[in-house]
Amino acid sequence: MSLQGRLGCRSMRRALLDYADGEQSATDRFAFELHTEECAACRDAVGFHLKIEELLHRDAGIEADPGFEDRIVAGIRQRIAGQAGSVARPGETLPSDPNALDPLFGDADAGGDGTGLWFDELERAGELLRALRAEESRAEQSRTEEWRAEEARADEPQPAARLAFRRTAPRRVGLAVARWAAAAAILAAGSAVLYRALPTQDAPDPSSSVNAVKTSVKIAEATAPSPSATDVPTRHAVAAQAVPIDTDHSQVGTDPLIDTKPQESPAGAPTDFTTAQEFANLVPIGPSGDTQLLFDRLREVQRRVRDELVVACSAPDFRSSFSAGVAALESERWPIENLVLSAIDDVDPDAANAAIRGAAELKYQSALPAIRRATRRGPTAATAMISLGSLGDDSMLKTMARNLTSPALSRAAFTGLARLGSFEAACAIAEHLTDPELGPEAAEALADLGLTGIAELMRVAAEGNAFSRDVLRRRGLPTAAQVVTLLEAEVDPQVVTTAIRYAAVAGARAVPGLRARLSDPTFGDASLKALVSMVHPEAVAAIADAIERRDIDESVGLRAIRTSLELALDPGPLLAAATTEPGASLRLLDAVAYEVAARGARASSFGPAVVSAPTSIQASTQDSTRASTQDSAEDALATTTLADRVLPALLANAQVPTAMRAKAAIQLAGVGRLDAEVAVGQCALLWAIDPDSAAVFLIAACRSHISPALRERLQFLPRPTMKVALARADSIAERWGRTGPSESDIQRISRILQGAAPRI
Amino acid sequence: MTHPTSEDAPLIAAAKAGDLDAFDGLVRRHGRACARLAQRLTGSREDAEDVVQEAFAKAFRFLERFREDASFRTWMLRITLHQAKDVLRRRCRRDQMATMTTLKDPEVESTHAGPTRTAEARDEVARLRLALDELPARQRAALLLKVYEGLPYNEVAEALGTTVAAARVYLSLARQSLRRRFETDGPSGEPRS
Repeated sequence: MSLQGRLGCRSMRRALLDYADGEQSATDRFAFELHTEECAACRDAVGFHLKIEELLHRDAGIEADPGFEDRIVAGIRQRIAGQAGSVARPGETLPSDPNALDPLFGDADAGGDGTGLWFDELERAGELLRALRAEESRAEQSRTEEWRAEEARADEPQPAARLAFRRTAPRRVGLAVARWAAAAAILAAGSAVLYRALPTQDAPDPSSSVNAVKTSVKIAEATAPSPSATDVPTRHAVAAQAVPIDTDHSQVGTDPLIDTKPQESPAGAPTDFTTAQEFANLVPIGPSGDTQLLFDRLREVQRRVRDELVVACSAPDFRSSFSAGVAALESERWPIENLVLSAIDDVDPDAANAAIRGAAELKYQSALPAIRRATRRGPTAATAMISLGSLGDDSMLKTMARNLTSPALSRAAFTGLARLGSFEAACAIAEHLTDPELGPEAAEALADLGLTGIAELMRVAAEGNAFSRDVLRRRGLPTAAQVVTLLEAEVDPQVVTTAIRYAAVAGARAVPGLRARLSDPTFGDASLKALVSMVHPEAVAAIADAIERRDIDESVGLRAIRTSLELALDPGPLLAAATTEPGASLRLLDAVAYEVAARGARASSFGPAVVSAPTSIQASTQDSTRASTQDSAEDALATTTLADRVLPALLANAQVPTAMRAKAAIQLAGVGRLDAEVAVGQCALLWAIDPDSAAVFLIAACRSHISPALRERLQFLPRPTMKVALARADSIAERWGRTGPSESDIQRISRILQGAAPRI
Repeated sequence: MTHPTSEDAPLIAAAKAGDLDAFDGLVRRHGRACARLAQRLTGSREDAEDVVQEAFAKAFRFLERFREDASFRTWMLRITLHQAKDVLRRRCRRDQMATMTTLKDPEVESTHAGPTRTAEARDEVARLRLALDELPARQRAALLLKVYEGLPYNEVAEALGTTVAAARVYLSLARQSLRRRFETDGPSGEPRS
């Protein structure tokens, strides 16, 4: 750019670098300085820049010590002398027998070291290839010139010269091809080590493979024109490296100071060969004996490479070893990702599958497009589907779901969906749970899918699906942790319900989750049932806590208490929570008292419970505003061994309604805690107020065989009715003496007496 | 400047013929420049000497490949760059603490910023070195070749294996980074308000 004329500030800034580096013409320099004289801002910028330059130059004086040159020269001579005794150039040392490559395929570590020695001068391999290319180019040029010369001499027949050319040209070209192919074979062998560096059972230590990996990648890097054409653990080097090398690539090795960017291979360039003819096209010399020999040798190497790759990828510790090798290479800034991605589209299915697997292992999201393409290719479809699942790519979910019924891809589709782990994947799999053929595999896949799949299995198993039950039982699922997670997660209600069913698996660990669900109208019943069935103090405490906080429905609380009583658990906390809470509902208290009363005998054996509960109930009887509660409380007290403690308080409390006292008196008399006449007196008082209730009490007295005197009181009833009532009462009393009254009995008698009650 | 010189040509020709004494002459002519670059890159005098020796040994081996139309010094600097790369890689393997972007002060054995280094940082040159440490590798390499070795743009580009335009960009970015650093801290190391 010329700076002649007046410069703008923007142009001046652009020219600053050239000015500082002294790369401007005199004219431009003059224009530049002219501008800075007139523009203060630019002058300041230039000044600052020159200051930096001055500092840089001031710091440039790192000089070697005086003996530096002598030491360097001596060291170089020593190295040069050492080179003379080192291995010859790779192209010249290639063994003629492919079996000589065997050491490379042996133990990975030893192979790596061995190859490291063989390729001690790896860069020479690249140099050799480049030189061969140049030589070939020169040979071609020479050939062309000779042909032209020969054509020019066409009118002057010189059979001897033409014959000589025809004799020597093929030999020259053949030699070049041989050396070229030899170098390519070396590269192939190096790549074989790379593959070999992938773990096998012979190399259990992943780190032992790292050197071999580095060595092989170094081979590829040293010789390849671009990273995209270099070799990776999953790609055949033979084909890639047999492609002519870019002559412009003059670097020695790869500069770590310059980021390597992936470059596209030339479109349409041949990159592989499967026949001698294809190989010949690549080199590009017509078939000859030498070419065939080289081709055979390369094919042998290629076959071994493939075998090694397959073995490596099927090794049990593929993951850890592969990752260790890759991590080591990445730490050195090898473009592993680009190399793996390019190998996914490799024409060799083994190599492509290995690359897909490697990409999934390394979680390369950038590999998704290539892997999606691979699902459309038969040989790679299965691996691709599995890998897509591993990478969490659900874009192919429908394809995978469709392939669940494909005989060839069913297993891969199940595995891929299982690894996907999404709810949609679980749904796709679950559709086949009832299929007689696919059901077992679907159940296994769901078990592998994770919590969502397991929850689905639990749900379906609860509905009677045999495959699901079998898998859950066989694999010991769900685990306690899974149950706890499901209980505490915000998931589908059906899943929660199913998890509650499995709460016992988690034991006390499930209590917090169940406790949280207690107050939920949807899950309250199921949670309560689960808590109660745990027969665990923490579960009872959870219910008591819920009752106390009134977080649960009364009926739920009641069932909890009832169930705890049935299970002979200590109902103390529940009773205390139900009866002492000021805000507790009367209905609940009634229910509690009733339960205690109904199970008086058993309640007495509860130990600590009967100490605390009747005390609470006793307190309730003294609350005249809670008549209903008092009623039940009295029932409870009448049947407990602690009734004596309550009796004085009950009878002395004038605020207690007459009906309550009458009822309590009769019941107390029934258990021998009160004189029968006192009880009848209470009933007589009640009769004047509430004859219906009095009749009920009297019947109850009859039922309890409290006193013949009570029966006489029945004479006050209208005769026909009385007779019927008495007859029934006697009959019933006889039966009750054996079995006790039923609820229907009580109701029936109540109805009879209500209809027959005299009007006073 | 390191354009092809008439002094190099006969030495190269003789060395190609196997004359080690002639090659010694090339070493003595260009060894210091290579050592400076290697020392800047590796941060170690010992490593730098090893790099230079190996670079020249390789050069001798591949001397026939050397194009006569190129500068021998540029060629050597390029080989030195790559050789320094290998040293850094080996060091990285050996010691995870070393990284490609570490440019240790050769006078300071430890990479840790002890009191000596802290005090030295007050000095502008030391601050400059610290700023160089922070430059991206390619920018730093371009600057080293341009400023310290005085290579023209085309030779910087050749040594880096890139185009002249890209080399110019690296240099420009490097200088901008240094300028920003110094503008932020102030010329005497004090942060600018």
